[in-house]
Amino acid sequence: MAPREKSQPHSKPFKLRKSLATRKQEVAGIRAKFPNKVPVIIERYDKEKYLPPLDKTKFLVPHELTMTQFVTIIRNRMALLPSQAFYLLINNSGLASMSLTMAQVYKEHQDEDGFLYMTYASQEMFGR
Amino acid sequence: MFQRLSNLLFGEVEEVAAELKGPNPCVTEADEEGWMIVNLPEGATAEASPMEDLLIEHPSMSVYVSPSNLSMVSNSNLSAVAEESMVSLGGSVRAAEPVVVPATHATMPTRVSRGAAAQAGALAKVTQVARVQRSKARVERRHLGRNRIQRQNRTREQIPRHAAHTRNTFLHQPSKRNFCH
Repeated sequence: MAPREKSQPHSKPFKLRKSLATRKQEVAGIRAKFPNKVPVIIERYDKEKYLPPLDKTKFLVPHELTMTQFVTIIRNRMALLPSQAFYLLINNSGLASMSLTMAQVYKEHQDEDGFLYMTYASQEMFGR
Repeated sequence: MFQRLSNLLFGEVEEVAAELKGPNPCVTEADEEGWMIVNLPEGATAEASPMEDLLIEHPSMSVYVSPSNLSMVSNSNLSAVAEESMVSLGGSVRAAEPVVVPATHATMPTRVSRGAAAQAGALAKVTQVARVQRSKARVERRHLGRNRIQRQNRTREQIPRHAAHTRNTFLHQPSKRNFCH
């Protein structure tokens, strides 16, 4: 797939677009509304050349969903071919075990604002 | 009479089937204030066999095939045939009535209990999610085993050597297959 040069709707990452207080408020609101879902922010790795941008950044995911299922959902959403690599990095640093449930990942890696931040890339990175 | 009976029978069967299918048969996503809501996929992405096996093997989940069900259908058919023959005779319709009425009475409670059994089955399926996920993890671990990955790496390493070889020589000779798809 050719790299897309289209101007992205959000060039700044989610965390820089909103203040900590706003983000905290947002998490509190959505968690009250959907107590059985986990708020996840998914953004493209800033140097990513091959994967298309996602139209949505904020996801509400059920607790019992596994990482594998979640990755499948995202892949389907981007209409990736089976030959295209896709990695979901947690907190922009490392890969999580694919057999963990979202609740487990959230418990381990949630941010101070209550969101779970994930970055997707076509290559797994070891350090930055 | 027979139509009402068949409606009672088959109408209810359809109802139970629809119940079994559940509200969301696949991954449904809804949009709310910029949030993408991912609902739990029901069977669609969990195409891993454990769920399917449960569905197929559990006798209480089967709507169509069961001894009680079969006998019920044959019963009603028989009584319907009997009724028709009585009607064609024209004389003793009254005699047919008592045959049919008990049949309808008999179908009602078993229907209800069957629906309850199906619901119990669905409930069991939901509570077994953890087990299914554990088995999935086990399969995944096996796929990511050391030997398996080493073998994959070895095949990957062999490709360039093979390619270099064919570039230098004009003659293409059959070589060992590197892939097994």
